[in-house]
Amino acid sequence: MTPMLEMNHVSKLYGEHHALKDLSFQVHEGEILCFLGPNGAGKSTAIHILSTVLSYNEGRISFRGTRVEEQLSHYKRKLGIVPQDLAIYEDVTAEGNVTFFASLYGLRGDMLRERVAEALQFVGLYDRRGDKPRTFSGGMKRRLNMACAIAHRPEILIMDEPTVGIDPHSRNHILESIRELRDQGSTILYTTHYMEEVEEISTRILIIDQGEVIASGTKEELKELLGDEKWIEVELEDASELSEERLFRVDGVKQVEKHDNLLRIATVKGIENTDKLMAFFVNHGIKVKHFTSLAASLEAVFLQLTGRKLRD
Amino acid sequence: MAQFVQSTRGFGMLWKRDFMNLLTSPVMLLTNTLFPLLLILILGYLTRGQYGDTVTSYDYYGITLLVFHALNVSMTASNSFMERKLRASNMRVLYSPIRTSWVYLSKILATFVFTTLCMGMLAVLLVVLFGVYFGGKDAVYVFVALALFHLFSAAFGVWFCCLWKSEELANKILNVVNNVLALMGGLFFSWDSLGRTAETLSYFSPVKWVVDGLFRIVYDGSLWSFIPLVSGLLIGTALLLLGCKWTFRTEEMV
Amino acid sequence: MNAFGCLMRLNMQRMASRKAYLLVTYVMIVLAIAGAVLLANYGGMKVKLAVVGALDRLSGLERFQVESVNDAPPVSSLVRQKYDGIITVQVDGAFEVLTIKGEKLEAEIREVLAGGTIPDEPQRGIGTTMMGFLLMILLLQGVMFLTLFGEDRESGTLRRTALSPAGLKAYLGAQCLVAFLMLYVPTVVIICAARLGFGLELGYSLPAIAMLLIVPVLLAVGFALFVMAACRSSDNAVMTGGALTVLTCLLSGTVYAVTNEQTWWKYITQWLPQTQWMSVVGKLEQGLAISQWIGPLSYVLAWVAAFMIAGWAVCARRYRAGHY
Repeated sequence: MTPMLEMNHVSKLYGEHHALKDLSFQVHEGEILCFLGPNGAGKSTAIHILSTVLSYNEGRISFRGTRVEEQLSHYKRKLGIVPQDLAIYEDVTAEGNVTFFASLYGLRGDMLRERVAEALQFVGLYDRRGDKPRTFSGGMKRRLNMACAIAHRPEILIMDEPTVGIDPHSRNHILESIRELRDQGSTILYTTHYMEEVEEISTRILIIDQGEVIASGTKEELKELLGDEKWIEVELEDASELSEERLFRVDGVKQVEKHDNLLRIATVKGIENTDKLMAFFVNHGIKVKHFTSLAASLEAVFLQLTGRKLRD
Repeated sequence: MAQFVQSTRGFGMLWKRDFMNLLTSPVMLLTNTLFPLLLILILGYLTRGQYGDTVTSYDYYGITLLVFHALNVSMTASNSFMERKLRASNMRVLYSPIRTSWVYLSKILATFVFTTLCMGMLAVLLVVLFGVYFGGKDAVYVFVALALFHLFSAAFGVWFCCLWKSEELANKILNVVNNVLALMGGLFFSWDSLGRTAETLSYFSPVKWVVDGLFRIVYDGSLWSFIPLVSGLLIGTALLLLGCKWTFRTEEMV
Repeated sequence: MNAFGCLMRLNMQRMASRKAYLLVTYVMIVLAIAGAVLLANYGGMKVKLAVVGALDRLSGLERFQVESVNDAPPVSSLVRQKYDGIITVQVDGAFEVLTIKGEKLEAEIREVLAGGTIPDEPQRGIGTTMMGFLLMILLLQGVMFLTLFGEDRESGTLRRTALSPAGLKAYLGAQCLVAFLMLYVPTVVIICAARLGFGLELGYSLPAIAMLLIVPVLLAVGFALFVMAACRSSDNAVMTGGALTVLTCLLSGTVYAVTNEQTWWKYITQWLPQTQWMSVVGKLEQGLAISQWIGPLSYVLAWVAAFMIAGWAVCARRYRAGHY
């Protein structure tokens, strides 16, 4: 089956710096593909390239099998973008904002009015449609930002960190809306560095780091990458006296990484050694501040693949 | 064809939005109405002793300061193009299927219409309040030339933004450049009396050409300067539009 | 390095990276000095006459800047100020004067060309003219050099700095001092280069210029602080500051001497700091005693203080009200 959107060996250079390195992936109809990666991983660069505002140095991007450059206007019409920065007019009403952006996509007359009302209802701002965004909370502005992107019913919706810095209520509202859009058959490409969001809404995940895809698959498939390992994170008051080699004497310990007072320990799944590890620190007179088990999570996958945490 | 019509409608919407942004900005309204009027009133009053009854100081400053206003249209244009508050929304427009060039063309056209309307209003006030003479039946040529200068200036402001990639920087430089061009063009006082070198230098200022051409139309009834003036402004505008095409990069808006 | 030093260094680095600002400012300063020199070399605003016919029939021509022409220039050349008057000389020596600049000038031209005399009007010296031009440019550029303050306010970095042990006072102090140094030092250097490199006579000694320039630069920084504080966005501040500067400099005769008979107008404009500054530099160039210019100088310094205090007060109030 021809993928809806495909990025093929795309590279983007800023001087000597590779923002994207030979990036390839496909987006299939009806899925929510999540881009997961730390800040600066290249997620926004990929989004800007897909939205055609940023050029690229090598590679090819296709929409339904045809190069995007050969069908630019058609492609843009099918695309809805929710940018990371709020792209709304503060002194124009919510309705005015959605109407303006929707009309740029060729909607007019009754259809325009219907779609605008529908989009505002969808994001829960219909009752505030006559108000100007400068009177809105941060979360409401984010929701309006989203309404401006969906009124023309795009075939593929690209959302660049749409929940950054908002209250839990608005965040839940946005995530709920995304699930609803997926149920209606929309295809969504979603970037974030919040793995909880990815766990909640994704049908497939692409983990990006330093401009490269380092893993992809469903969350279950990705967790499989952890194999028979589970990760434990221990924060010590003072780890200077600790000898890492001795930790290997504890049952199941396979790998130890030490960053100042922070230890990351990989242990064999199935061997219950939490008590033994705690006893180890107590016996050595080392005070433990935090002890966390990174059970099979995407965070642990990212840690295993890169040796760093998502928000390091 | 259908796509063209749709695209044209998109341009109409974009233009309307840009125009409304200007119309609802108090600073833009004041800069294009009250400020030039106040300047004409003050300078006209201050220097009225230096003029007689045939050509009054208001006649002089009525025209020179309308030219100054036209020159400053470049700042209005750059403001409407890349002002911080509008930048993200302009960016969003670039995602839509309308042509990229229409983003800056719309700003130029919206600025042109807005400032030309302001000029029209100013001209009526100047005639009613101070009896400024704009050339009688030849006034139409004066206003056509002035309107084209507005267009040139709007294109200049937008091109300057494309060049410097920032409205703030463009505006700050334009603020100074415009005042220098105005001084050299003799809009405030007789720059030419600073000597032959100053007079030669003044011809580098487009302001000088415009104001000379306008005075020839108004006071000599001579239209021979009209065609070169208008052609010059149109060619200049066309070159600036080409400049915008070459220097406007969507990635710099990211 | 203490907090104030760090702020100074940071702001210096930020300003130094804005080469376009710096270039425009320093080119303008060079132009101001060149303009003043040009003006002085060409005898100021000498009345310019176009003479049609035999020049030798007229006397007193040396009082004017005269251009002999074959045909009478069009009226527009008078309006454009290419000429102040057109003299048409008949074969018998009789002449006609055409001017749009009022009856007084026409009578003066007639008087001189008929062999009479009129008293010389005092001309501005090169130093005074230069100081006038520089004042306007410094006022315009001062606002530009304080845009960092506007930017910090909008980006929230002002609040972050003000919340640190450095505080708002050190923040504003560093902003003003950087703006002062960035305007003052290059201006003095350019003037030194003009005086020592090109041997230009600039009306005052170099030490005197260096001392004198402190005042307009302080005025520019104070004005900029006030405008930046009073306007909510830095864009508006630049536009408002530019408009106010152009208006008040024209009213006060900073760029060229305003001759207006209306005493009430003079009464109003004398309150402007620029008018008093022109009086200070004029009197100094004429070599008048300190008692003659200390009054207007104190007046200008009072404006500087008023701008600084008002600017600071507005900032502090808005900061406390949570606007920044």
